[in-house]
Amino acid sequence: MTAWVGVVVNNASPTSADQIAMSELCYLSIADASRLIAARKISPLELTQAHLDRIHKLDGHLLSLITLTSEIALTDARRATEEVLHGRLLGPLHGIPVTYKDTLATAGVRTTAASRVYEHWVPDKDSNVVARMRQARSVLLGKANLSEFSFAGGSGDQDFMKPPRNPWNADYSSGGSSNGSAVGVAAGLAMASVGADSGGSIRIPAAHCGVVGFKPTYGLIGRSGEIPLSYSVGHLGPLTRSVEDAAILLECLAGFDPRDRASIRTQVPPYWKLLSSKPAGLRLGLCSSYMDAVGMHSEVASFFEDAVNVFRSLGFPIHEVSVPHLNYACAASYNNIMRIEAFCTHFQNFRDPAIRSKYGHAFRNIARGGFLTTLDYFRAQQARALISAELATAFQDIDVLLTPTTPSPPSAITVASAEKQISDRLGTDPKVNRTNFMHEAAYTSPFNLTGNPVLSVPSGFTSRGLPVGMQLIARPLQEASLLSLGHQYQLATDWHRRRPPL
Amino acid sequence: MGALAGLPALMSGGTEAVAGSTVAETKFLPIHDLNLSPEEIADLEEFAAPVLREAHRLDELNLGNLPAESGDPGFIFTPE
Repeated sequence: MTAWVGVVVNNASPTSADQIAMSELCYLSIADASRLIAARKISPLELTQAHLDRIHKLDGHLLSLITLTSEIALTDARRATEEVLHGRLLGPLHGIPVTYKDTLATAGVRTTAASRVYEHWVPDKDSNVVARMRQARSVLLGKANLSEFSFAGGSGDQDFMKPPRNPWNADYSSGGSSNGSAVGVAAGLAMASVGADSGGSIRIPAAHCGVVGFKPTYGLIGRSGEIPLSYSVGHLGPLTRSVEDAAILLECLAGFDPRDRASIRTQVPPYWKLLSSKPAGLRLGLCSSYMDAVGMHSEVASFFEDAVNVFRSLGFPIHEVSVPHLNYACAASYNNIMRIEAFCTHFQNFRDPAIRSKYGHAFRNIARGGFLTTLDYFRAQQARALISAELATAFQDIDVLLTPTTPSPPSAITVASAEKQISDRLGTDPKVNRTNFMHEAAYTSPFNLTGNPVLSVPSGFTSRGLPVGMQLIARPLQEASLLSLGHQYQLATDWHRRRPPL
Repeated sequence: MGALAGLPALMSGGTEAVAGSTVAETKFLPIHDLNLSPEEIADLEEFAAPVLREAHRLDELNLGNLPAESGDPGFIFTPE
């Protein structure tokens, strides 16, 4: 911290780092931290050291990280600090400590996907998103824990890494699969993280941990350098504590990636700046027939109704819309497309017994895709065309669709593995099977199928003190209005300001 | 079960095997390319049963033959 102390003392500022408690430094928003860095009230080095200290204090219990990169973080932070001292500030992410889901390649730092298969793999090149964040001079704290290969079925025990623990109550699930990212951000161990989402893997852990998760339009964030789960439903996106911070990250992450064939060539708007103008004239929508079909926990329903009323009170009209076959989206996306593409991704590994033996639970989960046929895949793609068209029609009458993020609050973790928990829930009744099987992803995975941008924001806390979330869904490439609306919601509520009891 | 015997099940849109057989006996499923033991296949097959049931739900959509009647089978996803 020596680089900055002199400045702080000389300024005798009431907001200098030596007067801000460590936990307060770690719960600053990126927006506030960047302003304090620019004003030389705090240094990137102080900010980074505070996060490293908090990681050492808490992460032995929370398990948000697979690999802690203390030396790299301090080197990054010293460089960022020196640059600020010389008047060179690269932007709002300059000196901001972050993590990445450990499926995102980091040059010189092992990238494991939480699997023994890649336990010792050290990439020689950064993934697209890591390179962009490094260019913005963010600080690499470490690689975030996840469900093995993003597909281990939630928070069950894993062979290589134990699951990250929910900071609100360690006896409850932190969701999956980008749960290490969500846990770290919620616990003040990182200011932001970048995760991946093929069926809800950013939004579900964000909702379960009380943070913001953003899955942008398919193709807006380039995925080169990611260990993928599923090519055509896979997305990358930020996890942060506020919508404002999500806007800051998205501005850095979005843009053409020549090594990702799905990458979109589009002008990236100044998302952060656009938050300052209140979104006028947006028409919000509910799809009650779909929510009735999926169902939701009574407390989730209550908080969702409250959130809808907040939007009404802000002057946004609420309309009812119909997407007749949305109830099939989860089967098409999560069940068929994601599983078949994941099976193809891992096929060569699975054929080698020596490599196959290194897989944990992910093998059984992904191998299930090998029982599906080419026709199952085509049927799912047909359903995708049908549902995408229906959703586009619905968006002629509204601008933003609202749903809960998950039908239920975080579930209690039992001694059983995730696989056993799923199996236990299935029962034998076909209708129960259908309802429970992909229950947690019922509201998230449809929009992996259609590619629409989706923002998940904290929208309440249950009687057990567990967070729940709400989704805001827009037309493709309407991220700016989505972020602006989410920001208005957070200006009117304080759910995102709550901190876990650590 | 021979390959031809599996054909009607496939045409109905999924991997449901004909009466008296099991999914694992459908020799052309990708899972068989992994050269797993019969015991491993049987174990995975039981675990995969809910996945197959869910896959069959799409039959309810009556999507027709491939390519879809619209002429767009939706194989390539491009957000508009």
